[in-house]
Amino acid sequence: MVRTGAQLLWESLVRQGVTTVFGYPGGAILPAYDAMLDYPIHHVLVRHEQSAAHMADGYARASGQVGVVIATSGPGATNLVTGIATAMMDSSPLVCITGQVASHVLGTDAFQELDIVGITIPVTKHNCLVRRATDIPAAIDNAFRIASFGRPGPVLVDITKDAQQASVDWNEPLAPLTFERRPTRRLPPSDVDGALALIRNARQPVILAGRGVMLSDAHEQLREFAERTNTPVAMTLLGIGGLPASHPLNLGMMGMHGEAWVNQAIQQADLLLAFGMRFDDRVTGTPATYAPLARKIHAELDPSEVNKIIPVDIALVGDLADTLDQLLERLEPIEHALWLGHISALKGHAAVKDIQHLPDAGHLYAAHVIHDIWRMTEGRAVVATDVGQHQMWEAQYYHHELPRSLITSGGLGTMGFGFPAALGAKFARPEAEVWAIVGDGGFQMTQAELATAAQEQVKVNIAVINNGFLGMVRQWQEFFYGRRYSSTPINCPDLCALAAAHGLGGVRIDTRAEVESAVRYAQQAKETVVLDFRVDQEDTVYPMVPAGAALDAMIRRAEPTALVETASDPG
Amino acid sequence: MHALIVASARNTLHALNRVVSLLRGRNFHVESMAVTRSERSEVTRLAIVVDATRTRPERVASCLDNLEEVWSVRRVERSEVVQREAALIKFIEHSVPDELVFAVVGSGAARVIERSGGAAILEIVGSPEEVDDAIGSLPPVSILEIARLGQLVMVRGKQQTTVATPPV
Repeated sequence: MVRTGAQLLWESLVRQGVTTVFGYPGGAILPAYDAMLDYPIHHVLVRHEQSAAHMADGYARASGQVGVVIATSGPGATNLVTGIATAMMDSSPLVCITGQVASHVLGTDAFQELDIVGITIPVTKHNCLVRRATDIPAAIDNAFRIASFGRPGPVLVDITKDAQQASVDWNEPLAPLTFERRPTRRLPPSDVDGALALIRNARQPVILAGRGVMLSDAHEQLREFAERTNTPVAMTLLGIGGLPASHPLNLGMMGMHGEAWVNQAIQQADLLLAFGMRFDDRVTGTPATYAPLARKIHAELDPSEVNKIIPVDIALVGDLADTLDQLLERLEPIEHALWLGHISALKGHAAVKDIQHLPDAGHLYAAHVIHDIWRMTEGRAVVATDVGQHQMWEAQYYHHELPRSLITSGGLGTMGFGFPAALGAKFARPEAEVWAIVGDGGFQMTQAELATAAQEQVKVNIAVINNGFLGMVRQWQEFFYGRRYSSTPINCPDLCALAAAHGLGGVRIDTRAEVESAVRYAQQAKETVVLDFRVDQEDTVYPMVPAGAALDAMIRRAEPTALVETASDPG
Repeated sequence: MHALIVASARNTLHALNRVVSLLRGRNFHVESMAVTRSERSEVTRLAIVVDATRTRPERVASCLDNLEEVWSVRRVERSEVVQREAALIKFIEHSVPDELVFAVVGSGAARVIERSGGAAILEIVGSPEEVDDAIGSLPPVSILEIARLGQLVMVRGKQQTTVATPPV
């Protein structure tokens, strides 16, 4: 049967189970867009290719499936790069398909020709240029296998226009394809023995749970391990949701803006069990002073992460769920009552400064807003954030009960990520209540996707934490640059008018008393709603571990004006 | 202290580009990398010498192993391999006493393969130390050009360093 390369492309995608792609057409990808109309694919037309990559990323993180992006050559492809890099840093599986100029003009600086394969080498798990129609099915199959196997990541497939246009005889069946996503292997018995000995002998252990918990679907094993060994669990930013926030062994987030007791527990621990995390510098503070008393076990899929930042005593290299299963086979119940009691005492000191105890003086604080959104969604919404102060407040005050419910750019720290990622998450999980919690700076980077939301009639709720500053940069200027606010005050358009211009809902909120009704309005509206929360302009994220400091050398809010260091809800 | 890593990769510029990009991007301290053909047309051999005082060779190996088009990676000890390096050295003839040239050639690792226009080209094939010694023995002002190939590394005995069959 004769097929064009473009038809082979879509047939290959359909057999991978793809139903939704995010993209933007252009000259070099026109044959593919033309053929797409004949396949059961929903194409989401974005307003900028970077957003397409973020949407596909949000789709992937919310669903565990591969997100698919499509764009044209040249500027279309380069606009993807930030989104691809974001996915690479956070191990998110994407397949990015770009059109390329015809093969006979490659290398001639043809119109919209650019070496996107060369450009994306450092930010992809793999990439390739396809020049022949017959190579397209194998390239797409490979892309999906590589993107999702082992440690996931983005793969870019660049296809020349003539390869899309060429007609070929293709008689091989394009049946649904399955492949193993996880490498499974028995751990060396000596490693398991060594790890079990450290676990049994520990008196003050802490589990550090990272994104690997989600990628490996190891939530149940993590809970079982924590409960059986009575070991408290500290979460990395991307690990949030790996254990329900309401679980008594869940300490909360660690690191630069982690709760004080979490960082103190890590620094006092005699054993760290690092499960699917990579000792990012935002987690460790200065490595030389990190957890000085602790032996360390690192359960990690990617051997290149082992001993990269923090030397460990035992490395358990493999899929996390598989690793935990192997440990649990031989692990008996262990008590750590004294240690847990000690951590509770650490926690109690901060808890008295809880947001709930602060009288409403008419100010609106981001912490209030996020606390109320958490309360009204019962911690079960999918929340995508941007990057900055609001991101940290979200991690502190929105207590996630479910895995894959916090979607945020951890490694690259990409502003503009939150809103498009929320849209992508909604396409992946239409039944879920999806919120984008963003800052006024980041939202303005990708607010053009309001038009996409309107055109697609897709419903998400957008909470803009609007403080008139690039808040986290301002905070660093406050602490480390003598309050010289260079280029951080930022204007914002009338977001309600902006929403209305797109046929969407918008509400401005200036006081805490208005928060609940606004959130309820957004929840009940059928269309996407923008909530413009005008929060205190110079509020600061506390605690804060300054760059280069030890993890427990935190800057903390002065007592008399203490706002919050925890957001546990007494009610 | 140097560490040796041998790898086999798909014999394409793209694969080589990814390897070089990784080594650069990860800030690995690489002393040399020799890229050579192998017994299989689709497989390129890489011999990478890492400054182990500044870069952990295990991490270089595991990062390389993550690349789709790198099919095998192995850290090898000097004791288990034969190392050879080739170099061409062009020098100004009248700046080097004949007895010095004879001494270098007499070591067995070098020979003069070209003399013209007042310059000579010396070819050296030997251990990296022999190449270093030969270069070091010539007066620096006499040397016009040096081209060093990088280290060729092969494990002793019947064991193969390149993969027998690349993955499909």
